[in-house]
Amino acid sequence: IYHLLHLAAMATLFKRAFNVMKEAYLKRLRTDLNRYGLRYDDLLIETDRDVITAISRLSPRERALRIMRIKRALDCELKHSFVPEHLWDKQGPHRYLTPLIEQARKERLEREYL
Amino acid sequence: TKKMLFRAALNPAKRNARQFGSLLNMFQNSKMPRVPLDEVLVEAPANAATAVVTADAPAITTLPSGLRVVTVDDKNAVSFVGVFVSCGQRFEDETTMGSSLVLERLALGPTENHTALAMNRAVAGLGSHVMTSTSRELMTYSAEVLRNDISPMLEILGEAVSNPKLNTWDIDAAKSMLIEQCEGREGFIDEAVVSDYCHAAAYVNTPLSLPTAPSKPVIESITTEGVQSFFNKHYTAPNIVVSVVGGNHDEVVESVEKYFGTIGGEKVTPIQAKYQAGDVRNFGMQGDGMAHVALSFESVNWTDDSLAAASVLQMMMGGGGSFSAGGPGKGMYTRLYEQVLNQYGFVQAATCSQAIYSDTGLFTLYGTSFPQYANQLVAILVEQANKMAGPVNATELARAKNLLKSYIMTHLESRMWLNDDMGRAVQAYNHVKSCSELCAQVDAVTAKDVQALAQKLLSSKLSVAAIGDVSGLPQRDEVARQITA
Repeated sequence: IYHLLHLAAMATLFKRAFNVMKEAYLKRLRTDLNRYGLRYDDLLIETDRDVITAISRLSPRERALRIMRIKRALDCELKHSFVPEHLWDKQGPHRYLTPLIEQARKERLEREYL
Repeated sequence: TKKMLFRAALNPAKRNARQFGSLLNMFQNSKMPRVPLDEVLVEAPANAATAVVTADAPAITTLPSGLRVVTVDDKNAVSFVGVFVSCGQRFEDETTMGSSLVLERLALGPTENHTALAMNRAVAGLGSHVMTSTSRELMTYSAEVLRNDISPMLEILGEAVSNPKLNTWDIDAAKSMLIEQCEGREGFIDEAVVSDYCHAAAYVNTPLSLPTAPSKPVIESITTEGVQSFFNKHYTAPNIVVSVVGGNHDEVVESVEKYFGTIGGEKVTPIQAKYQAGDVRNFGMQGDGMAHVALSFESVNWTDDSLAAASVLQMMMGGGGSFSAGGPGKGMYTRLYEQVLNQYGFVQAATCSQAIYSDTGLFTLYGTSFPQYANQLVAILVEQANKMAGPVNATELARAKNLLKSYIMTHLESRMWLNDDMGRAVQAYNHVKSCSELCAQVDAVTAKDVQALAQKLLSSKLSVAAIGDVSGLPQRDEVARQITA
């Protein structure tokens, strides 16, 4: 029991357990997103000011694509169907909006700080 | 309070004595010095008002990257900093049309290291504001700061000029502002509009004909890639001149190396300008119900020998609006006033203006009148143009030269104009001419020089620009036939 109570050993054990759970969760998340044909950042809360600013800074084509993806996902859920597998890798980067949100947030905080 | 009033009422003698006593004692016990008004108080220093501080000659340094720095130290506590980029409407083409105005708007926009807010606040923190101006060949960013703040201001301008972040949303905001300005300008005709038309007529289909105030379709067609490529091509080190009035040269060069050091690139030579005499008319424009007519000729460029003669000629022709109140220095004795505006009541304005570029120039005689007299106006302008090549009165010449010299000297006294002059001179010649040099050049102009120049002007083909209610005007060829040179 002493080698179990050792702090470093416990830490690595917990870390490994956490990693296993993390990988399982991400795998499940990615398959779900792929089945609905979504990117992760499509699901961000739309009423947040920074998200609104960031979305308005996307190019018109990117904005249209985002809305189309969301519509397709709603359609899939309604019909209990999935997006076919050959389209799963073609949606694009999952976190494409996050840098824009960060920048918008920085600018807003700078203005409010004054 | 009640007690005090009671006591004051009961002691009137004491109160009066106090007041009376102070009156009597005012002159005896006064501690103020007695100043006799007919004796000299303090010896004034001799020649205080006439002491002249001679400024040093401007010092020019070219950095290894090609960037030029020019400074002159006038030992003043306030300085003026300017950055001059050889870039403008002249360098645009179909894909980049309108980019210079957008770049001017985004002067203090976000850069790689700072947000727009940070830039604007920094400038305001220095107590100044950045003035931008765009012309066909030159874009300038300038600001007036205290001497100690030259380095921070150079940092701000360096950031703005070396790595601005040209975001699509900022460019869209700039575009909508430009469209608003464009709509506000509708129907408004002034000298800038006429100058745009003159350039369009004189340099048909070459880059110099692009207007400084673009129309709505042009503004709507501005793209981010266009602006970015325009910026990358023209904001290069050999195209930029940093000019400072009132700073130590070595310190300024050090700051410039630090803040403008990341700029590289090569010099861009403009497309050779081709003067093609043309005719541009805008019939349908409502405007102000007047007829605006401008006759233009090809003139000298910055490096021409007869630049001084051209300036003297322009001063001699002079002109202005007919509602001018006059006054010294306004040019009331110039030819366009004496022979045109004073003689013919229907002429609302008659001006002579000149636009000078690095390889060409445009000399314009512009007149405004009621529409029914437009043909007479053209005849009058043609008559004046022909007279330019004729003999020049000695008084007229002397007047024009004095006027020109007084303008030069008055302008060079102001920090802002001095900075502007230094920047433009270094861009054009790599060398700054002092006030006395310029005045000597003006003095050296003779009547014969002016006449020869006028004949050269008239021998280049005429271009006509007409705006407003101008339906009955003769064609360009007919007007050109009347020019006898």
